[in-house]
Parts: sequence; structure tokens; C-alpha cells
Amino acid sequence: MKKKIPYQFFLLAVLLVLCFGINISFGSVDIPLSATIKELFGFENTNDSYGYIIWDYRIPKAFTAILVGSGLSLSGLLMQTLFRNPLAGPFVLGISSGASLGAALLIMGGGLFTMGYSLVNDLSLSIASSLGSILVLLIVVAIARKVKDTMALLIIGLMFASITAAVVTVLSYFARADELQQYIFWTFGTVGNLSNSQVLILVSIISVGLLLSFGAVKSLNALLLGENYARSLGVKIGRSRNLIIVATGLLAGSVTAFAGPIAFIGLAVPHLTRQLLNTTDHKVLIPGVMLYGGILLLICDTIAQLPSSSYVLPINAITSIIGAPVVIWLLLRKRNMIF
Amino acid sequence: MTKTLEIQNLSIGYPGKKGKPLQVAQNLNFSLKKGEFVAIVGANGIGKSTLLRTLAGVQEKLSGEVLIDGLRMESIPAQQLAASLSIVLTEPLATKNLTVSELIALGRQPYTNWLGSLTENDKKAIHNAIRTIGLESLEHRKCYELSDGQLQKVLIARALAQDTPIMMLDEPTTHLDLYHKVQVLKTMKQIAREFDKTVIYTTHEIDLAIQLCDKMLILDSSAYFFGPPCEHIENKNFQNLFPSDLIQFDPGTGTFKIKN
Repeated sequence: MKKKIPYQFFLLAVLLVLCFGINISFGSVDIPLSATIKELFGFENTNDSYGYIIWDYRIPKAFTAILVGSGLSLSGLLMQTLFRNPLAGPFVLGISSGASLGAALLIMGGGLFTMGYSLVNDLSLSIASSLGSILVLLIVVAIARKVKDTMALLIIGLMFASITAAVVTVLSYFARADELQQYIFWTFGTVGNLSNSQVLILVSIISVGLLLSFGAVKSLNALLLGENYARSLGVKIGRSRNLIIVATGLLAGSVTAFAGPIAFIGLAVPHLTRQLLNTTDHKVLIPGVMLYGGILLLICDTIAQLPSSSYVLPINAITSIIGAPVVIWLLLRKRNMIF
Repeated sequence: MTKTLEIQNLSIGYPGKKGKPLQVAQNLNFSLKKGEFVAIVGANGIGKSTLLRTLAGVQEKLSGEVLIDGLRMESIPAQQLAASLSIVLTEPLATKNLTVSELIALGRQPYTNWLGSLTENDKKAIHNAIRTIGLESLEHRKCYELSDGQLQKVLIARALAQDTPIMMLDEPTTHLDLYHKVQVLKTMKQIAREFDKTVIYTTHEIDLAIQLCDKMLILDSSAYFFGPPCEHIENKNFQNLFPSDLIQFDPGTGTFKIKN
């Protein structure tokens, strides 16, 4: 079995590079493939605006897509193992709803206090949604210390989602049309508007999440047997659980803050990866889901661009079209509770 | 022989509401030595599993002490405890998507590095566990493809791969047919003898336990008895284990007979 793994990783890596190339070759502006290649490998500067579009827009966007896809997928994998629930994802803990609440308060609630002055820009939006997700994360961590049962924690996460959804509904009822529109656009999700420094921040937060996840590999594997067996194997359950929750929060929170609440990737990719790699070992699954998630979001983003047209579809719609059938397939499968 | 596991004034049960705990059994005192094969028997709901889970540290005790090699169980670091005590529980696995060899390999966790990479030594221990329990033909199957009985053997092999001086098994023979019950129990006894391990398990098969065990712990609603099976028979400890309207213990054969 060990001999199979490098070839599948090789396949994933090649696919990632290929999708990256395809992603930056398509967009609202038609750039000939030859010009893209020349621009990338620095043969000659064919056209200044092509260079600008590729280097300053498309490449950061493609990198963001990879980061968002891999970050969400990894947080989904962590949560599925932590809760031992195949339908768990970053949204279940309420972290994404926390981010949505932060964004909604800023966009639709902010006007109430500043007499109509808008405080909304990219930076304040990402700060507000980060604060929202961190807040919910802290509450969940505090509850996780008290509640020993992971299913109870899962239900509490769902309740958080309900509460934030209700607050957002109330806010949108009183919001002005333009504010509502701005919030709705944020919920569509985007990987395109990040500056280089924002991409850098995202890279560092996701790296921390990745390091924490690798630190928890053994606990994650042991948790597959259940908490009692894991404890009997020397896993410090409380500490491991907090470590996994913090990693999940960092990954899902930062991604949602910068790219909006992107649905289904975190839930679907771990299942697709298990199917492909045919293993339950997190040492293999962690890099696996990150590669797979990056590829999938690059594809979704390429489709969302509607190549050669000036329209850009909301990426959230595309990920849902791909992700929702995966959930249905999971439920229809005979062994639906197997993960 | 040295005492591996010492139980002092142990009370077991569940923490109830308003500080009034629900006691299942109290003031248990007994000790187990290396190489002993010991069964816990008693009627349904008498606290066999509660006792075993408490001894294994899965469940909190109410009071008293559990000493492993003279050390209080709580004072032993998690990693060290994992290398001295392995368990087989009745609860279902969180996922059955593991292959048999993956599941057994998880038993090596207390000894592997931070990434859980298996060394040659680990692989040897896994291979030995598979061979001892006789799972060679199932090695690459997924756990969801196995019958309950096969899965139970896999879990025993996992505990065996953990290679601990103490093994605790909660009803390890439930899903097995008579032949395989005896096979598993004989294997466990052989392991206890050969590697000087302490093996303790709960069971409803009192007649098999009488034939195979070095010592038995009989839990009754008001008392408990600990000692070799023949001593229990002499002291008529089995007589009052069950209500006497349906079955009766026959000291001559060491089995329960149905009353006519």
C-alpha cells in the first residue's frame, strides 16, 4: 500500500500545476496562450497590459484559490475526525457563521452608528469577519472544556449558526438596499480581490494551521477508534481536542475572512480524497486534502470566470453545484456513516 | 511473583446528581499477579463492565486506589500508561473504514514517533499479533467487511500489538461461536503464560472461565468473591449468583443446569 501513495501524489501535484496554468490562462480578457507562457517564463515582454493582468491579478488570484481550497479542506478533515461525523465541516462549528456575523454587523450595522459614513473596505471587512470567527471559536473552545460529548458540541455549533443567521436576517430587514447588496456580494465568495500582503497573511495563518495539524497526526489517527481507545493509546484527549479546534478555527476563520463563506469544499474534499488515496492515515490525508482542495477550487474559479466573457459568477454557486451532489452521494451510499 | 495490579478499597459507579453518586460496587480489594488469567463474572447489570472500565481508566472511580506496579494510576503519565495497559471495549468503533492491518498498527502508537511512522520493530509486533490471533487472511480487508466476531478478534490483535504487561478485555467473546470463544480464550491464556502478562476479562461464560482461568472475581449484589475457580466451587460461591428458580450450579461438572 505504501508504494501506491507517491504515484497518486504525483498525479495530484501534476494536476495542481496544470489547473494553475489553465486558471491563469483564462479570464475576462483573452490573452493568447503563447503570450501567457512567454510572460510566465520571462522570454520577452509582449504586452504591458498582459503582464499586468497576469502578474498582478491572475497569479495572486490563483494562489488565493489554492490557499482557500486547501485551508477549507484541511479544516473539514480535522472536524470530521474530531467529531467522527462524516457530515461535519467548517460551517458546523459555527466558525463561518461567526465570520458572516462580523461582516454583516460591519456592512449593515455600521451605518447606524456612523451616521451613514461607510467604514466598509477590504481591510475592515476581513478584520470584522476574523473577529467574528475568533469570537465564536473562543466560545466554542470554552464550551468544549465543559462539554465532553462531541455530539453535543456539534449541536451547539449548529445553534450558533442559527443564532447568527437570525441576527443577520434582522439586520438585513433594517439595512439599506446598497448595504444589503454589499453583504450579499460578500457571501458570494471571491478569491480575486486580495492584495499581495493579504495573500501573505493568509499563507502564514494557513501554515500555522498546517503545522498544528501535523502535530496532531497521531491523535487524529487514534481518534478514529473513538475517544476511549485513543486515551488508552496515550493520547491526551483534552489537549489534542483543543489543538485540533484551534487549527480548524485558524484555517476556516482566516479563509472565510478573506474570501467569504465558501460552501461545501470543507465537507466534500476529505471524502473525495479518502476515495482517491484509499487510506485513513492522516499523515497521508493532510497533504492529500490540501492538494485536492487546491485543485478543486482552481477548477471552480476557472468555471466561475466564464472564460472569454466579461461575466464572473459567484464562486459559492459553483462550489455548491459540485459539493451538494457529493453530500447527497454520501447519504445515498450504503455505508453512509463511514468516513 | 509480583503484584502487577492492586485494587484497594475501590468503589465504582457513576457520579449522580447533587453529589449523590450511584454506587455499583464498593470496597473492592484484590490484586493480580504477572502471568495470571483472570475473569470477572456476575449477573447482568451487576457492574462487571463498570469495574473493568474503571480499572482501565476509561471511567472515573468513585473512591479507592488502583495501583499499577505500585504506582497510583492517575500519577502515571499517559504515554507510560499506554505502554503498560491495553484494552478491548464493547463500544463500536468510530469508523470502520480502516483496514485490519491499519487498525492493528494503531496499537503501536505508544511507541512510534510524532508522525506515527512504523519501525521494523513495530511491523514485527503487528505481524506477530496478526499471526497469534490467526488473522492472516483478513489482513487487507476493511473493517466494515468483517463479521462482528472477526472484528472482535481484530480488536484483540490490536491490544496484543500494543504489547502491554496488562490487558483488559470487556466481553471479548460475545460475538464468537463456542469453538472460537475457546480458541480466543486459550490464546489469551497462552499469551498470559508465555509473555508473563496479566490478562483480565469480563464474561458471561462462567463454565469456560471455570475451566480456563487462574482466578475469578465473582460480583454479587451484596458481596464479591476473589480466588481460584476450585475454591469458589468449594465455597459454593456460584450457588447464589442467579435467582434459583430456573438454573442451578452443579459443583460436580462446574456448569449451570436447567431446573426441571
